[in-house]
Amino acid sequence: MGSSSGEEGEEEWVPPSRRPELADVAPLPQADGPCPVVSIAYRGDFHEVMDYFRALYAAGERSPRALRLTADAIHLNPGNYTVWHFRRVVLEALDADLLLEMHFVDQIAESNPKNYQVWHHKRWLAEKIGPDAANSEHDFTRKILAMDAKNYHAWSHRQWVLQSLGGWESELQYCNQLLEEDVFNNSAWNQRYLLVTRSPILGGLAAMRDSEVDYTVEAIMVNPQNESPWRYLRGLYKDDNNLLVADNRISDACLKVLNKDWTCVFALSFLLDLLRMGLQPSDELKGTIKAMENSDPETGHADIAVIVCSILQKCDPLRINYWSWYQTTLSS
Amino acid sequence: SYDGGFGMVPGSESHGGGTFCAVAALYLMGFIQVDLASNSRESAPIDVQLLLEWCLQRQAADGGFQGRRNKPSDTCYAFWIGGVLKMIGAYHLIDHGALQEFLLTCQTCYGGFSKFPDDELPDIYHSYYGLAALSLLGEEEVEPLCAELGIIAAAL
Repeated sequence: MGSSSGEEGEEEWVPPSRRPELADVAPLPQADGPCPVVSIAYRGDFHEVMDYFRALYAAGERSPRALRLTADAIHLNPGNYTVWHFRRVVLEALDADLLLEMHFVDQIAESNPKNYQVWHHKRWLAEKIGPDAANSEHDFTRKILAMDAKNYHAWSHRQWVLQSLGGWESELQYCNQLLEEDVFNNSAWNQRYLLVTRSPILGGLAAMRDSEVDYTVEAIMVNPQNESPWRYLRGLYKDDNNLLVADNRISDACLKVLNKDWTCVFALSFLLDLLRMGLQPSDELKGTIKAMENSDPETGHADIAVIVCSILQKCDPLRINYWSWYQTTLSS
Repeated sequence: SYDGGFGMVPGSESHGGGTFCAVAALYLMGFIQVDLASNSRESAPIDVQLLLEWCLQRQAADGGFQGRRNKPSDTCYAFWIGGVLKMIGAYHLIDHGALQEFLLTCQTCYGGFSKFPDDELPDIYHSYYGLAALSLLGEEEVEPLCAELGIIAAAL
C-alpha cells in the first residue's frame, strides 16, 4: 500500500529504498532530539519517503530524481510547504516544463481544493507562465467552483488571474450563470461587484450602475428573503447616498416588497437607511407603513423612521437589541 | 468590501476571519477608538456603522454565526465575529441566548466542539473557538478573554 507517484495507478509503487536511481542516497532520519515525547507513528512508506527527501534536501540536490521524489512526498502530505518550496527550487534549476507542472498541481488541487500550498504553487506557476495561462486557470477555477461554488481559494485565485493575467471577457456571463444556478451565492454577487467596479471592459461603476440596479431589483423581487442582492444594491451606490435616495426604482422596490410581505426585514431596513439619508416618503409609502403600524397599535409615532424601527424590533427579534439601540439614535 | 465586512485581500468576499484580523490589527494599532455602547464614534478610518450591520447580520436563525452571507453557521465564527463586536463595543447587541444555545449544540459527546451542530466529530480548532466564544458570552467558569490578542485578560 502506498500512494502513486503520479503514475496512473497501474504500476506498483516502489519504495525509495528499492529504487536504483536512489541507491547512492543515505536516508536522513527526522531529528526528533534525545527524548522525543508523543512521537508520531508514521506509516512505513511515509517515513521512508521523508528520510530520502531530507537527504536530498540537505544535500541541496537539484536533479530530476529530486523532482520525482518531491512528488511522492507531496502525495503523502500535500500540506508540507518545505517540500513544495524545494520542488520550486528544483523546477527552476532544471528549467522544467511549467505547463506539465501545472497539470501535476491541478491533479493534487482537485482532490485537495482547500489546500493553501497547492493554490500558492499554482499562482507561482501562472505568474511565470504569464497571460497564456489565463484561459486554463479560468477553466480550472470554474471546475473547482462547479464542485463548490463558494471555495474561497478558488475565488481568490480567479480574481488574481483576472487582475494579473486577464480574461475578463466572459466573466459577467459566468456570474449570471452562477446566479441562475443559485441566486443566494454571495461569492458570485461579490464577483459581480469586482467586475462592475474593476473590469477594464465594462466601463466602471457609473457606466454599469443603471443596468445593474435593474438586474438586482429583479433578483430581489424573485427572492426578497435573499440578503445578497439587497447589500449589492447598497454597494452600487457606495459613497453616494444622494444618488441612492434619488433613484426611485429603489424605494419603489422596497415598497413593492413590503406590499407583498410587510415583515420583510431587508426591505424594512433598507427603507430605514433611505429615510436616514433623507428620503422624503411618498404618500403611498407613508400609507403602507401606517398600515403595518396599525397591526401594532403601541407605536403611534409621527416619525416614519421610528415606526419602521419598532416594526423591525418585532420582525427581526434576533436583532432586537440592535433595533432598540438604533431607535435611540433616531431621536438625536 | 462594499458591504462593510473585510475580505482576505482587496476585492475578496467579506469573511468572518478576514474581518476579525483586519479589525483586530487596526484596533491594536490604535486606529479604532469606537465604543458604540457609549455612542462614541470618535475616530475610525473604516465605516463602523456598515461593519456593525455586517457583523450583526451574520447571526443566523439558528443562533450561530456564519462566516459569510448565506452560508451555514459555524462554531468558530461566534469568536471571529463576536470578537469584532466586542472590540467596537457592540457585543451587547447580539442575541446572547440564541448564540449560547447554538454553541452547546456544537459540543459533541466527546466534550470537544465540532464545526456544525449535531456533528459527531470534534476538532481542536472548533473546540478552542467554541470555548473562546463562550468566554465572550460571559459563561461562568470560563476566563475572560482579550479578544484582540487572543489571550486571557488575566495574562495582560
